[in-house]
Amino acid sequence: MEPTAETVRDVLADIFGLDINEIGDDFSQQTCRRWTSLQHMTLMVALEEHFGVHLSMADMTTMKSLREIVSTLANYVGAAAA
Amino acid sequence: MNDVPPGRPVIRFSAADLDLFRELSFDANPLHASDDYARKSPYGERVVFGALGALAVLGKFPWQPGQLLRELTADFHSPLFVGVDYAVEIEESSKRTVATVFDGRDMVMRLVASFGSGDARVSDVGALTAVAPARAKPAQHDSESLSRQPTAEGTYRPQPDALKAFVSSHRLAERGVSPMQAAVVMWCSYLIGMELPGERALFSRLKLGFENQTMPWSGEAIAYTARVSSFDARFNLAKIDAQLRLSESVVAVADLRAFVRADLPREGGRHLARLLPASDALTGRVALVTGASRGLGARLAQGLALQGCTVLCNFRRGRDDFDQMARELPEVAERLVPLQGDAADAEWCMEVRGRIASDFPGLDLLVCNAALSLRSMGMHANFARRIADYVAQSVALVSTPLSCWLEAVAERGGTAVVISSSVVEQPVAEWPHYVSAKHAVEGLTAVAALQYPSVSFMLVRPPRLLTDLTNSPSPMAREGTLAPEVVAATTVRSLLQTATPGHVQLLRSFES
Repeated sequence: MEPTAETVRDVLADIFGLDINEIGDDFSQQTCRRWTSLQHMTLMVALEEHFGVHLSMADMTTMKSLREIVSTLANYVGAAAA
Repeated sequence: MNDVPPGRPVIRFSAADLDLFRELSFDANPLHASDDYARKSPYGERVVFGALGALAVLGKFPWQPGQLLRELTADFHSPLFVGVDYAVEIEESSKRTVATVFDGRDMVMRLVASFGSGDARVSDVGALTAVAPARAKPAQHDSESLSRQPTAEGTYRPQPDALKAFVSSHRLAERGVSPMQAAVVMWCSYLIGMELPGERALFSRLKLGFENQTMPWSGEAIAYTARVSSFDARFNLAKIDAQLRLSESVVAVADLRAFVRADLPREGGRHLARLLPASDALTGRVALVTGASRGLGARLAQGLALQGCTVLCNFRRGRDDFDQMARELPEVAERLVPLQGDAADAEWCMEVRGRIASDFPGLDLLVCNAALSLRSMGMHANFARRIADYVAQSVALVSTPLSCWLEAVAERGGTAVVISSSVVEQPVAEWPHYVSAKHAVEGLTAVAALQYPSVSFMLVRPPRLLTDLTNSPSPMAREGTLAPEVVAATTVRSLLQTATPGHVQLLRSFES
């Protein structure tokens, strides 16, 4: 599946128990109190399963906003397609 | 006070609930069952069994006669604790029921359940005894052993009368959950807490599919086989597949996940000795360190002892930890004097002051290090009391020793060290209680310097340390943490340099 803002929103909504409409473009660990360090791991596992990728630890530590998640995942999916 | 909206169901647990569930489920994992064990964990107190939380939430589902649970998924986002009101928000659709559990505004658990036609009524499960599974003590799996994908198998049956009473008290049958299904959820707790992964487990997800539910259950033991299907070292996450059978028929399949808490390095004393060579710079001096049995306090006590100082090591309950700490550095063990008691208790502190006057030359150094365990809190009504209590207890752990012992330090023209934190410079959103408490103890230190001008003061602001109290299962959360030995070595080296009475020296840079 292609990582877009919409598809990533679905995963974020499921993990954090939010409505899709509550996840704006600026959604991040800073703006979401439910995004704890433990939940971050759960989110990373869910993203890997959803998009069929294997994330590096370095990338996982930077994926702390909707924008960063989409752009990082795009690199993985793009690399796989190349 | 809590901010649970009127009409929204609430779940709440007592210590007795945990004891009962332990007996019933055979899950004796010490994180749930032992006050002493849990106190040393990042949670600071016993954690409610996730499976107990899930069953309690199912007990808040709408009544649905003629329905029977088919699938259940429970995601455990944060631990639940005793004595807290958790609000349950339930959304029903034609296909599934979703329950979200909140602590204030924080989501702590989410359940998704689907039901089909069936009969969940409590049947006569017979006058049978419990069938205890193999383990009475939890397995000690770590990342290495879990990577070998271990298995577990056996039979399981909670004590039938107690199970029946549990199901009845939560009115689970009326919600479409049969006694056998409740037993399967309890078994999940047992498997995670006792078998795979065992003691270090932190239950993350439970997913159950029930099959052959038309079979009558007369209470016979449930046979199970389980296997770690994968272990991801990046997350310390174990995935476990399991199957449960009655008379050779599969009655449930389980997909379980648990994080595994890593053990901390236990050779901290030797690490410290390498960073801080021994000397006789403090020979003849006497120090008192609060919270000295573990973590930074233990390393500070050892560091001072390495310099020849006699160190009164205060701890409240951790005698075993003190003994372990003393054994780590046998060359200084005789200079480490145990001092068990509550540093926030003024009466006890004054008794200690009397002992210091009679048994020691005086008190040259006071290190206020004792602190409470640290969990996330939100700034909303459900947490208001907890934030206030945390700050009050944290301040007492510094204000009481300063109030009771500074006079003795002043008599010797000594030094008082107060352990603060870098959070006073860089607040952490999840820690309003901790940030407030550290600001408060820094304020106390500033005033103490005015009231005791013959005493030198040092405020230590370490960054996040890797200790028992902060040991998250998340490798990402542990990244960037500093070993307490480094902070202890830097602090002791600073104490060996010239101090200025009546002034507060700030220590915020730590180098090994």
